[in-house]
Amino acid sequence: MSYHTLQKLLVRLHFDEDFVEAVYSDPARALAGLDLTGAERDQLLNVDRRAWRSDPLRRRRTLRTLVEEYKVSTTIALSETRSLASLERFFSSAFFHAAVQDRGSMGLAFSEFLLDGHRQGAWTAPQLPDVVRLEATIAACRRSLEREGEYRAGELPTTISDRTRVKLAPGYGVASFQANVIETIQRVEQYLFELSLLPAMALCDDAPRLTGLPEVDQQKKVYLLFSPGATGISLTHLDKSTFAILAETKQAVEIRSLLARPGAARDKTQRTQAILSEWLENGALMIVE
Amino acid sequence: MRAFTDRIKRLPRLGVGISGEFNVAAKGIDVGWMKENYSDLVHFYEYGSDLERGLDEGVRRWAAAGLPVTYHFLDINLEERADLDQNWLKRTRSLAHEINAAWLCGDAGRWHFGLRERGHGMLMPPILCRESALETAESIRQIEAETGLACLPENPPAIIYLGDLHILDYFALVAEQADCGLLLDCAHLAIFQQTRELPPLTALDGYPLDRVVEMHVAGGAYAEVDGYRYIEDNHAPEPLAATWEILEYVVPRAPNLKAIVFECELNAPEECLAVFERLNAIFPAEAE
Repeated sequence: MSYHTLQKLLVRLHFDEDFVEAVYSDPARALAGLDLTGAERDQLLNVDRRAWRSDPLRRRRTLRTLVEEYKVSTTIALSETRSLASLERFFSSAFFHAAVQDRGSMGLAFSEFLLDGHRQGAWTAPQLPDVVRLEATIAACRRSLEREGEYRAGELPTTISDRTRVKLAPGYGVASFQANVIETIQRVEQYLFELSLLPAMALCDDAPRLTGLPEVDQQKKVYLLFSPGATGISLTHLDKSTFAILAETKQAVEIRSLLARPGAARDKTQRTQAILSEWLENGALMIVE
Repeated sequence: MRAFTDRIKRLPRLGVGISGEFNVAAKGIDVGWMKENYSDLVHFYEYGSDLERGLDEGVRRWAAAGLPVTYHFLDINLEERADLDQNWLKRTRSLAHEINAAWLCGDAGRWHFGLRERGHGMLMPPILCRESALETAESIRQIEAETGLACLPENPPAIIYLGDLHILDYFALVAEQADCGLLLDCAHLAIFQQTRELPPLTALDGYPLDRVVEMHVAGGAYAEVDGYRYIEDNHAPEPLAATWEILEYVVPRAPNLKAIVFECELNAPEECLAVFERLNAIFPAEAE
């Protein structure tokens, strides 16, 4: 089945000129560990190197799709680096190559690239990590909805045992962030709206710049529910106790383990039951057979 | 399932058609307008789409008028069995049945890398080897069995083809293993022959012309990157000479040919009329 390996290599070579250089200059090293026959390796190396450059806009087209999902994160990053190349480096990163080679999600790999860039100092805005995590959560919800389809809550069974397993329905997610994450997003969206009035003004020295991002407030947290709606994934605030319960249902879990959470006193148990009923009825949670 | 030789008798002769994708009328030729104004030139509509976009109003109207349609998928990797899931089969079948498609067709190879999700779109040819052809054939068998429709694999365009087979030998093997019909894209074949520095008709002698059910014609242009010359599949109004040469060789030798599509939907209608006229002269809607 090594032709599948060859197909993945083709994708990586089409996107990454650095990888083309590595493969042609030291094939033994660049292709080490890949399941390729000698004949396949020779076919690959017989391709005229210039042919890999026949579509110069490929990276930009794909970057556009990525930026659509990470609009706020990439705006913050670009406002700092002022360099398109800083984002295009994604296609030469281990995150991109692993996503292609392992049949993973490029969109989610891009979030890892952005977070890693922050850890490595490629961009330093303290607002960035939580914004990336928020946009990545939306991206993940969108994918689970596309993959598994919309869940419609039907009539619930008359009795639900504490051994019943529940989990968040496709398209739903929960996560916590630093307190000012929503304000940060709103500030960036306002800036992008301004820019959209006259996109060419980005070329001007006196064009508006992204300034005045709200300070990061790690002392307080905001708890959010991500849910599918008519226009995409929407966000709703949650209280801390509801968040704590729903966060455990990202994976299928037995109700009894939710009821037996540490510190779950009798009144808290009743509250947990009430929360589970409510979210099972509104379709955010589903029973797993 | 019946053999191809039996199944082909039940497929209608569609004549010359036009291609289009989701909301094509907003950026190119409105196929409904084309049919109203040039009904003697355009006899059917090949609608290309994917699960994400589904059907548009144009194709719904066309189908509601009882006009013939074929469904061209843009989102399945025939070469990759893992890609062929029940979700795709069920929903594609539903789309095709909704417009009463005469058959399914589409480029065989890969429409996306990895998972079917945003950003992964990238049309790539199959690796031209025996193992890949067998996997493609298995996918076609399953699609035909589960949708009840013929599935015609098309030779895709590329600048880089890998594998030890000629692309026509690859598709000959696919057709034999799947016992299916074929869609021969003349412009894509011209591109392939150019990448291998072969004359346009090379390897057609070993290709099962009796299995060719549909053909595609489209314009192309020579392009260059750092002195490397290749053909761009740009769907311009005028097909290259090599494309015409392939078409005119194959048509009289393809006894089961039912349809020819001119892929020109992003041009002005007037620029395309001469080619439609020539195609209708070569392949009239009613068999002579």
